[in-house]
Amino acid sequence: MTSARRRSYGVKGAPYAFLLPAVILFALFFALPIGYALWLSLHKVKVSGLGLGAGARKEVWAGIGNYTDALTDSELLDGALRVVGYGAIVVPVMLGLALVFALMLDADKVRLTPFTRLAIFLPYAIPGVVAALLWGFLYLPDVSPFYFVLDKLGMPQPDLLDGGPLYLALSNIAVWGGTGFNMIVIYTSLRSIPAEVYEAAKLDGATPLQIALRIKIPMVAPSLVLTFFFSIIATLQVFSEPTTLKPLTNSVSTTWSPLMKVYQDAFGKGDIYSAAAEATIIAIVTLVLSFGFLRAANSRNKQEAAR
Amino acid sequence: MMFYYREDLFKQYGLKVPTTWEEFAQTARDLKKKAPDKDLTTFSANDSGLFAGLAQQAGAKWWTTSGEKWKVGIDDAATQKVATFWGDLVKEDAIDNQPMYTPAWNKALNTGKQIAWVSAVWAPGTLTTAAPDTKGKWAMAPLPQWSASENVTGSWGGSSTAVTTDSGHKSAAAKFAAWLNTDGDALAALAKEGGIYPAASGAQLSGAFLKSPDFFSNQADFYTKAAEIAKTTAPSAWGPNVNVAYTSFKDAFAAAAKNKSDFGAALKTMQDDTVADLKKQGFGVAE
Repeated sequence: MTSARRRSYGVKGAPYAFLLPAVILFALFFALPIGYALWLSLHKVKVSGLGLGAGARKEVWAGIGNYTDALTDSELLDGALRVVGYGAIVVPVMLGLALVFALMLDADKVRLTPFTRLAIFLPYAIPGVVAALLWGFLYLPDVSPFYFVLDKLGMPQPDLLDGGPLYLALSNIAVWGGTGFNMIVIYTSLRSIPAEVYEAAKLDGATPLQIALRIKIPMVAPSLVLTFFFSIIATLQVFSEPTTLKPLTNSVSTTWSPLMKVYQDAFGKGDIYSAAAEATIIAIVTLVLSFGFLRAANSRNKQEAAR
Repeated sequence: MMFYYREDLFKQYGLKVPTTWEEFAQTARDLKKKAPDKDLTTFSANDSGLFAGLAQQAGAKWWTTSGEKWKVGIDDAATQKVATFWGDLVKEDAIDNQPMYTPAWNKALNTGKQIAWVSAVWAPGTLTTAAPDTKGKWAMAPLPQWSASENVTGSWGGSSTAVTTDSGHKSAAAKFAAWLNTDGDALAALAKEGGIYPAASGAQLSGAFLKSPDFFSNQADFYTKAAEIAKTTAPSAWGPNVNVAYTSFKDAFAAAAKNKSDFGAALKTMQDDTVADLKKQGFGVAE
C-alpha cells in the first residue's frame, strides 16, 4: 500500500503534463474567444457629433443594454419562431427516414447493402453551401429541370421559394444532407446488438416487424437520443442554407434565422457588440434546450431501467 | 449609369429606346402587350446600389450634414418619386420582381426573356458572363430622364481613395492618391489591371477605352458615349451608415417587391432604420 502510494507521488505531475496541451488549446481557442465575446456584449461604441476625426468613436460600457435590446428585438424572436417551424419539419422527417433506412439495411434479406449505405450517406459529404446552391438551382422555375417536366406535363408549378413551401424547400436540403449521417449512427448501433437476442426472439415466434419494433428500436434508443440531440443543435444554428438561398429570392430576409441576424449585425451593420450579445443568447438557449432534452431522455431511461 | 437594351429585340417588337422614365414605363407595357411572357427588365431588391444611383439621378441627397449633425434624406421627395415609379411598374406586372444575379436572371438575359437592363459602365463584363449567347446584340443608351429637358445620370457603385487620420505619412499618401487617380500611366494600369472606369475625364477615351468592349463590338462609339454620359453624373452624398441603409433596403424592398405592395412604405422603413441606427450609435442627427 505504502509503496504503491510512493510510486504515485513520483508521477504526480504526469497527468497535468498530459493535460497541458489540451488546456492551453482550450483556453486559447475556446475560453478566450468566449470571454472576448462576453466582454464585447457588455460594451458598445459611442459616437459623438458627425463621427469624424480622431476620438469621435469611443468604446464604452453598455451594461446589459445589448441584451435587453436583443431580447426586445422582434426580428430575433421572429427568426427563432421561423427556425422552430423549420426544425419541426426537419428533425422528425430526417430522423424518421434515418431510422427506417437503418432498419431496412439491417433486415435479413437485403442486397447491395454497402452500395445503398454509401448512396444514402453520400449527400452528407457535400458541403452545406454547395448543397443549398444545387437545390436552389432546382427550385428556380426558370432553370429547374423539374419545372420543365411539370410544364411539359401541364401540371401546376408551385413556387417553392415563397411562404409555407419555402420551409419545405429549406427542410428538404437539410434532410437530404443529414439523413445519411444519422442513418449511419443508428445503423452502427443496430449492428452491435448481439445475435442471440434475435435468435431468442425468433424462437419465440417474433416476426421481422415485431423484432424491429420491440427489440431493435428500444435497443438503439440511446443513438436516437444522440441523433436528436445533434439535430436540435444543428437546427438552432441553421445558417448556410437560408443564406445561400437568400440572393435567389425576395422571400428570405437577411435576418431569416437568428444566426443570420447575428451575422448581419456583425458584418452587415458592423455592430459586433449587439451581435456578441445575440450570439450569447443563442448559445444559452441552445445549451438549455439540448441539455434539457438530454436530461429528460436520461431520466426516462433510468425510470425504465428501474422498472 | 445608362440604359442597356437588346437592339435586335427592340427592333423586332417595334420598341423605341425610351428617353424619359414615362416612355420607359410605356415601353415596358408595350412589350407586355406584344409578348406577354417577356419583361423589359426586373426590379431587383438585392443590389441597393442600383436604387441609390436612380435616386441620385432624381436629385436625392441621402446623407447631408448641418453643423455637427447628420441629416438623412432617404425618404425625400426625389427618392419617393423613384420608389413609387418602380413600385407601380411591379404592381401592374409591367416588369418582373425577381432579383438579379441569380441563375434564373442569367437565363432570362441570355434567352431574351428580359430585354433591357438599367446598369452602369461595367455592365459589359456582367453581361459577358450572364448572357454569353447575346454578344453583339446589345446596345447602350443614356439613362431615361425624369423630364425631357434634363440630362442627368446617377452612379451605381464606384470607389475612391482616402487617407485615414491615423496614417503616419499623410501628405505622402495624399500625393500618391492624387497620382493614382490623375496620372496617365496609373490610370491605364487601373483600367487594365483593376477594370476601373476612371473619373478623370482625360483618361476616359485613352488606353483601354479606345476600343469598345468585345461584347459591344457592334457599338463602335461605346466609350465616347460613356464619356458623354459620365459628364452628366449627379453629385452624391454618402453618410456613415450606408451599410445599414443598404441592408434595410434589401429586406424592406424584397418584401415589397414580393408582395407587390407599397414601395413608399418600404422607403420609409429604410429611412427609419437608418436614422434609428445613427441615433443608437450616438451620432448627432438633425430631424
